[in-house]
Amino acid sequence: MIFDFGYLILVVALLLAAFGMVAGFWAGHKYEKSGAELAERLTASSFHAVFAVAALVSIAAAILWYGLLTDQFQIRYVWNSSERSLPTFYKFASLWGGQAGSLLFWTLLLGLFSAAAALTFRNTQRPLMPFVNSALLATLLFFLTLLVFSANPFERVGILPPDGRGLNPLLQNYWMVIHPVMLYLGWVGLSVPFAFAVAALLSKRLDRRWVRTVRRWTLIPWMFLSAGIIMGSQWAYMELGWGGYWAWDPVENASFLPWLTATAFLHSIIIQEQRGILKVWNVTLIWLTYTLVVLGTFTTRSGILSSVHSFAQSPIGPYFLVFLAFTTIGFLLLLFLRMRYLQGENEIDSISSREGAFLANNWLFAGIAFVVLWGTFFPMFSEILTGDRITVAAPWFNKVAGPLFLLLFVLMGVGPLLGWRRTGAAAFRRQFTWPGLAALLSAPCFLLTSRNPFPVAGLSVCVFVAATILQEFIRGLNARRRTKGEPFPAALLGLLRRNGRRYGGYIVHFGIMLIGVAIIGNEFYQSTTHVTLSAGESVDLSGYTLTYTNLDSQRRSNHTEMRANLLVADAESGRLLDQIAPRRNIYDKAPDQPTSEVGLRMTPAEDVYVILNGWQGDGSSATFTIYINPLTMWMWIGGLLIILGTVISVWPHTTGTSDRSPVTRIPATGQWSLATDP
Amino acid sequence: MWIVLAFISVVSIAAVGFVIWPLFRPHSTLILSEGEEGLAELLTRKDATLQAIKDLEFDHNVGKIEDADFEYFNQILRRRAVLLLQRIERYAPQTAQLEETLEVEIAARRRVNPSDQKQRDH
Repeated sequence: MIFDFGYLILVVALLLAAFGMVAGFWAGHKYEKSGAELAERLTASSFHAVFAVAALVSIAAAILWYGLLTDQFQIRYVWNSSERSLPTFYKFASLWGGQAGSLLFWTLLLGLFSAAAALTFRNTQRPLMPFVNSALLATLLFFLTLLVFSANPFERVGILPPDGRGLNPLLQNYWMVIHPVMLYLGWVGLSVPFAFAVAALLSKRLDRRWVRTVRRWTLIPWMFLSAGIIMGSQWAYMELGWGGYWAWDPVENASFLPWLTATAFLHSIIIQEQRGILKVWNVTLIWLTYTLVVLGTFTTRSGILSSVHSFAQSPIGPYFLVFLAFTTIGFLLLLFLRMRYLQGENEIDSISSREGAFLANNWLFAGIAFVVLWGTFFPMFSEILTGDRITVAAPWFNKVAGPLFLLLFVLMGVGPLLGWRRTGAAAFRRQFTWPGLAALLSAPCFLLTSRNPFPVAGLSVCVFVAATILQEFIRGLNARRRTKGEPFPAALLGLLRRNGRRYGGYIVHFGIMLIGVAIIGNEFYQSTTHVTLSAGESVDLSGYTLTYTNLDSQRRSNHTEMRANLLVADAESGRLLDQIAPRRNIYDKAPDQPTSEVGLRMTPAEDVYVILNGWQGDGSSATFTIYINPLTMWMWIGGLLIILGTVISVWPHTTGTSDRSPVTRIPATGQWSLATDP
Repeated sequence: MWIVLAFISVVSIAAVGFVIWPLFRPHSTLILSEGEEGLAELLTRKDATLQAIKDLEFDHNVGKIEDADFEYFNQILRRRAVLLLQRIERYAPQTAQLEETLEVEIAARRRVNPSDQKQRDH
């Protein structure tokens, strides 16, 4: 009964989203035509529609959660995604483990983001907000249409099954509990800057205000998306058991593509804010980001590109295609109609300037995004055109995108060394001397580790990036100590508080650099072996001796763990370093789909990474794949630094500027007031 | 089933009422006039210009901008800030009075660069 109520709640939400979308659009239109009184009423109504839809979708999500936690297997979604013995932790996470639930979760997050944006900007961005509400409600309307007509999360089975079919074993991992949440927060959050771009186009208010407004609202979803991608890599590393963390899988690419365009957007809006240029490029970038987000959800959920993530094959594809076609045609038409309002106010003074470096970085991001998009959809195109599905594998991506990433890293080092507007030859020399020397001196050391030029060049570039960031901090601290006479800790704190945007960005760059180091370590220095060991037998690999001792099993609530115990010792001295236990989990509901949990010894220098492939009945011998993965830990540390840097960057700092519209009007008196920094 | 219908009816009426209520209640207008919109844009540009001056000074302090380039761009930006302030004052004198910090900041910048002050006086 309560589930019928949940479905009807979604129907009401759909109707209100449709109403609010029309009301917002009409309000914005009336606003332009000076129909003040009606425009105000319609605007207020669109705000209320946003709040009402968010509340109704929250109730629907709570009802589905109730169904999952109380084993209501008469609901098809609960039956397909849960079971009685599933730990409560995973029952809760089952909401985003299947198609209908994940679409409901998407809608819930979008509703909450829309309500948060409406609350934040209801007074300060009054001219844009009717259109912003309208654009966000249009996206909500699309997802509610899917839920009501195609992917009803409250659909009944028809009978009352005694138990559920269980959650996909691959999803029963703690990283999978949080990784999709982060990804969705990133994807869904990026709808807000897109809605502002649409509002700016519709209202013809295409000056610098909308980009100032959306900076934080882009950075925060970008941070979630980055965290989601890193957590997904951690899940793949620990759970999929193939020795790596990134396979250029179509669904991995689906999360990476909007990250690339959103990162380009974050850099290029700084140029628009500073110089009033790149207006067409910025609205195009955020539209591309939004489109790639929807395309990513479509790719994940429609099963159009087969991959380990595409758990569901469903009839929602045509809905997505129609929506994508509608938003693409609508946006391009709007862009064409508003082209004369998008003229740049200035020109770039010199290519040897920070804006020049940002522009080059944008071209590279766009180039990489194109390469990844092409490689991802090539199998589909080849199948449509030739009838044969030709898959593009990881080596192709590495070969084509790798050099572009190297160039991007060079720019990541060069950009901070350049000042705005123009950096002359003398300043150029002064800035580049130490980082350049550090990179040049480090190259011979890296040559000792490999004769391959790619890792040597890559690691030298990473040293260059690290040196530029270090130099930036030292010079900033010295300048502050010179002018303010502060001691070192106070100067550092002051630097981060007063210039959080700049120095937070440098911390993010440092995190990215560490991820680059980890990738190079894994790609070029990894060693591996595949062995069968009897109990007590050992194998040597890259300075380690691994000895297989025994196999044991442990019963869990819904699966049995088979653990192979291994001793890890130093090959030279024989000193015992660690004990690790790679295992296989055999799930009661999917015994033919055992999952792999790797045995891992993680250190800053390298990981000893062992996969249990199989064993003889009594465990007298077992087969392993062993990897020594150098520098992998730095990927996770880099991910943490990205989050830290973004938090510093978005933290309100005392510059006296605001990303809100500076003008609000106090309605009772009509007096002007100046919005202060939030 | 009738309980579901009763519940959904109550929720629907409450939600629809909440959404359409603003259409019928008296409303104080918050819409900005064209002049007010212009002022908002000017204030945004003023903020961006002050930020650009700050960034330029910072880049010069840490040696990224040479002295001659700094002088050249600094003059352009300061002149722009002064012009923007003048336009803001024309739009809404009381606004400029309200933001004392801006006046102090621009005045301080004028003191640093006497050529701007002279130009403004002319």
